[in-house]
Amino acid sequence: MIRFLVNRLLGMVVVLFLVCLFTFLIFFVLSPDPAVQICGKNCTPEAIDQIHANLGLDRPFWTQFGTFLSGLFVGRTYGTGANMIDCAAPCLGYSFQTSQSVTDMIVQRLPVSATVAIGAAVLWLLAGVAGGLISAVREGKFADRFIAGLTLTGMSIPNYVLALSLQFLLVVTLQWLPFPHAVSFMEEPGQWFANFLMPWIVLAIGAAAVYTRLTRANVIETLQENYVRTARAKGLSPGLIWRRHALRPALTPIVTIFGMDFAGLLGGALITETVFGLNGIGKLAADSITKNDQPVIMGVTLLAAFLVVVGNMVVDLLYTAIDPRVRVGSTA
Amino acid sequence: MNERREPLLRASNLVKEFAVHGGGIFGRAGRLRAVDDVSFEVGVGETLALVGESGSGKSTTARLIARLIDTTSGTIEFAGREVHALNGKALHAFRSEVQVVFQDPYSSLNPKHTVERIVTAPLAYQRRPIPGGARAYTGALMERVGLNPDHSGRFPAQFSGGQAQRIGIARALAVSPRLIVADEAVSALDVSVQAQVINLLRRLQDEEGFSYLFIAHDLAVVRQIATRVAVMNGGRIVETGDRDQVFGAPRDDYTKKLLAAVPRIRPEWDAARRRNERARREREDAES
Amino acid sequence: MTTTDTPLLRVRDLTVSFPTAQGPVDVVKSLDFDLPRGGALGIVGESGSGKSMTSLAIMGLLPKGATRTGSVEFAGTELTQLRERAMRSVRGDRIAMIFQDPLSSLNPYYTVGAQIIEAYRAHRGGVTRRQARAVAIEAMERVHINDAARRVDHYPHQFSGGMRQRVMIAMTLSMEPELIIADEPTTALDVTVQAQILDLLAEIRADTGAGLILITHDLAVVSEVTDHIVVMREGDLVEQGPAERIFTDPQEPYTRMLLDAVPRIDDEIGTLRTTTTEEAR
Repeated sequence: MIRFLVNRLLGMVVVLFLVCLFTFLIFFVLSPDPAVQICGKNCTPEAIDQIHANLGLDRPFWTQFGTFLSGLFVGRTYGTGANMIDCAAPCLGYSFQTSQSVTDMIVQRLPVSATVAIGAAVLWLLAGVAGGLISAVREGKFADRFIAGLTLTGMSIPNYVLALSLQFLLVVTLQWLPFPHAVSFMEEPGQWFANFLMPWIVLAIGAAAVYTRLTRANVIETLQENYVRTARAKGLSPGLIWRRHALRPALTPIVTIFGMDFAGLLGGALITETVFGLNGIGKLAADSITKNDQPVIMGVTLLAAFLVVVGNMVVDLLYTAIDPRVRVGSTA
Repeated sequence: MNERREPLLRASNLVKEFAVHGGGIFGRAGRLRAVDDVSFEVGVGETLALVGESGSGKSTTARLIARLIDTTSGTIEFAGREVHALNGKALHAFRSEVQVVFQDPYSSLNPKHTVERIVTAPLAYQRRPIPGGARAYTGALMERVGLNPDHSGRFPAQFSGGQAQRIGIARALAVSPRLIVADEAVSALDVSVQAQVINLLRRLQDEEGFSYLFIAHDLAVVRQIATRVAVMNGGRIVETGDRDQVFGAPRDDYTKKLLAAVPRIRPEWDAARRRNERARREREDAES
Repeated sequence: MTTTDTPLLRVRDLTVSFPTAQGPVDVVKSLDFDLPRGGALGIVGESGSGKSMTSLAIMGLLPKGATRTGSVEFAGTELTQLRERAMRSVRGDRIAMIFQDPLSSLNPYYTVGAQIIEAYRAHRGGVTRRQARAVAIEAMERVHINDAARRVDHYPHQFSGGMRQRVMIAMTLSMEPELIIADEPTTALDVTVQAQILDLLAEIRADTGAGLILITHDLAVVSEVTDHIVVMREGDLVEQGPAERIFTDPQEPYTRMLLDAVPRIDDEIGTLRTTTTEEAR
């Protein structure tokens, strides 16, 4: 068991390293020269060279990568002398456009993204599992087909269409919800809640649709299993059969998939945050793409990749805890 | 004079190891010896049965002989030539000498192919011309195995289990092999159908003179078709001999244990049934 | 007539049908047979004979959509008239069932101890964890699983095929059923293991006096284990009678054909007479 864990962790470290490398490589190859941006209008070749030297852009690729990596652990400095900029660990880069370290920018916006992710996740998990269970129990009947229609719609509508339509409908036309504006939870909880409600719904609808179908399929398949037949032959009550023999095997895979989806969402829901004007990581990514702020784009990409990899690993480990077949050894 | 012919197939010291999970970045994977120093011979026109329980290594051995998997070590000689290391064109040629019939026809035959396509496929793969054309050749093969040649355009799922297995046999016959490896070929069939297919296999062997490497776990079935028997346990052959000797006077303890465990109909009941059967027929003859 | 003469199970005119696109199809047609107290009945047939459906019909475990008519009288109670709740109290308690594939018939997420004790808990109720564990260990020991006290906490995949089938049998034992229905219990097992399992079933019957219905395609097995045989083919009851009579003097061509077709381990090839297939069809 210990060996298994160690293997997994080592694997994770290797993958994370490769993720860093490739992300860095992509941006290294693709980015335009930041020196031009920094320099401004009246630029001279000497100024450009100076900036290159300051930022270490004249060094070979591996050196730059090495500096970047070490920056992640111990921080780094940009430039020399009076203009030196200190980037504390973990340093994901420095945005010269906004004069902030990327890490700081991300950390500021993390609470918003986390709120969006958690709220949506709770919603979609409840809706998805409930919908899936109802569909499975009423397989073939009206409820099943109706829900199938809903899921199809939910999966087909593009995120932004849904977001804009919902906003238009609920805020402008029906005026059920107030127009979103940034408040802290402490000051105006009601408004705060209203701010997040629509993004939660928008994000949840697509995912709930997928989870409904997944749950439905899992439950139907589990009900066919031979061990459910054995449970019936033992004369167990339907409730007991459901809880112990049908739900647990059916829902376990869903919990693990959920872990991965959630981790991915933490990296920022780009479109949704932008449409609803929420200052989260997704919006940060969208804005910096528009402004072409390379360090930020790279930092956000790296974060998202990290979250997915870690989420994956956590889910794998979770599975060993939940499924005895993976956990323990062979035949005795 | 007892003329000893060169055996058609000679397997010597076959070993097959599989890696077992448990390895990782630091750990070393365990190895499982599915086939552990197995040697045997199959003569021309005879049937060698490889019997054993699950995990005995008999199926793996069959796959080694048919060159579906590679040996870890050991040699296989077919008609005097070494074949365990063949590759490419030579391996291709070998495939027309040794064919396999598998246990479940519904999963070993492509369900999307017609009988004609299935049966002529081996010839097509080996780029050999089909004598008389595909339709006629298929028809002839189907008749030989007891199928209706008009059904050559049907799909395996449209046939019963026994009939589908006959398709598999027809396919094996298409290239006129010298050795057929039958891997639990009748194990999945109903009893009545099983008997028919066993009879078919024996008839074909009498007519054509090829050899069988017959893999089975059912000793009663093996009793019906084998010339010689090799008993496997834990990857090794524990006893080899003529059929009557192995069944009648087994030497190895495992063989004895295996034979003792087989459920059997009491011979006195069979004898009584035959007597009653005869009496009934005599009565019917007397009445008519 | 004393109560000991009442058969343990009396099946009359049992029919099971499924709706299909071409109309309802009977997979079991008007079955009549009795199982005396403490007796062993073998239901033999090839695939599609309806033998498994018969056992499910007796237990009331038919798949959705199937209809069952006829009478199934168990120890004087008419099972077909029972409400589902009452039937549930019969299942697992008075009639227990063992299935063919022990690996898929056991839930991989729970320990064997937990599964052995489930029926006991459900039917007897008010059992402490310690008591339940003791019952499970005792059941495992009765089926000769070594080191039961430790292995009661193991999971199904940690057992070999034969051991798992013993676990299934242990599950039925904890309740001391009056009737055990075993549907192809040894088909998926090696022949040496099969012999052990069949011996175990015989031992249990001798200990508890439980009746046995053994469903199988293997005529040699029924000849060794059962005293009464029912031969089925495509839903019909072809022939039934005492085992010895069926094997020595079969009346129906189909039965004769089956007996001819069974490969004998100690007999010659000539008895594989299959020409009578045409007669039988």
